[in-house]
Amino acid sequence: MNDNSRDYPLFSDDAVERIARKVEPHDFDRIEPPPQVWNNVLAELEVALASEEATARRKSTNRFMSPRVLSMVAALVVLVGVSLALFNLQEDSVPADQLAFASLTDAGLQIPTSESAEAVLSCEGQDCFVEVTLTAVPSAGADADLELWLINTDVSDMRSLGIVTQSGRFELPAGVTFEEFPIVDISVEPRDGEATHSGQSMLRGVLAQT
Amino acid sequence: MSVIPLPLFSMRPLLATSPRNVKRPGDQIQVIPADATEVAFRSGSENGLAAAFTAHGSLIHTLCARAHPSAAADITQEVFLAAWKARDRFDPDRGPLAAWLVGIAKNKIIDTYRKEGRQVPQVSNTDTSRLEHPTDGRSPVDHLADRLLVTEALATLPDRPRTVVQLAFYQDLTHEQIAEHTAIPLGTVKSDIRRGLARLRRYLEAAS
Repeated sequence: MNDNSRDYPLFSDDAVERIARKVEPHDFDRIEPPPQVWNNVLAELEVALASEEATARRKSTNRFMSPRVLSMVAALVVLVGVSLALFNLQEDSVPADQLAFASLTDAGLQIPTSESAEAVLSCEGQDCFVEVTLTAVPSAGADADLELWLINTDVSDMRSLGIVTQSGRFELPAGVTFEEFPIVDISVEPRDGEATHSGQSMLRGVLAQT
Repeated sequence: MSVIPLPLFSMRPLLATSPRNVKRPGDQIQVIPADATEVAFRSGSENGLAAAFTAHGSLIHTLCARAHPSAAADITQEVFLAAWKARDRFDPDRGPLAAWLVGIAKNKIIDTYRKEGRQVPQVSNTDTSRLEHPTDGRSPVDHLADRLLVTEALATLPDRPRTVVQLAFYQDLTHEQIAEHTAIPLGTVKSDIRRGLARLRRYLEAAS
């Protein structure tokens, strides 16, 4: 431990020694908090998490994927990148405001679906959005929603774009670029008050410049 | 059109976020080992807060129970929730998590007395385990917190320096007497006391 982190001490050696000498034997005793204290902290934490949800959705999350899943994401990045490269060779005309495109499938993901989707990132002036077109809206199951995320390349950070109930436009959060957050992910989110990604993804693809 | 670069296989583990100033091996700067509880706490997860509560819940509750017995459970609860909300402001470089939590607890205890329209008790003649009379303008809560922080800091010292410090401060032995008594060389006794004081200061300052 670094014990000398300040340039000059708030407490002189004499002051520290004076305080240390005031310690009485019972100062070493500890009073354990009653069990309900932690239960109450946890309950309040749940409430705090839920109320922070709007902002938490913009924040990063650490609870996400296993290395196995990450390697699948990596493989997917390569596949989609290559397929988009090929796709791009065939496609000459794209709308002037379309910046990036991703094709979303369930390949390698936790929740299988027969549906697929496309995501197009476009900007109109300053306003950028991701337009998601689903072949059909997959079922999220009981007490759960589908949620759209953008994830960065090393999967250390992500942003929620909102709940998916149909094909449509999702505003790109401020400060987010597809170069930094190229992975488009649709996950199944249980309605459990937990704002972070559930780790249960259904559709995923990677945005590549068009 | 370019394929996105792939740093994916050389990822750091997501949960093992390292303290901000930790240099990588080879930087030839002292590496500060990341305390597992502090790292977990800063992750913001429920488990991280649980780790902080397990490690420091009794210290915080002891302070609250001795400073404000009737509201101790509520204040302890508030401290950990407030700490979680303010977790981004916890900087391990500035001191240990225990001391940072004590700093929050002191404010919460004083706030509680203020909300109740009461003065923080100045003297407790009958029960010396509670708060003592302040002599330097600091709150009696500060004095109690200081003493608990000393005990907490002592517990983090290795056996030999802890023994040396305790002999010096609580048995009132001179450095020479400690050296004689323990057969530890005098120079080592002096450096152990210096190290001990530095550790104590780190705890005291981080809560001030």
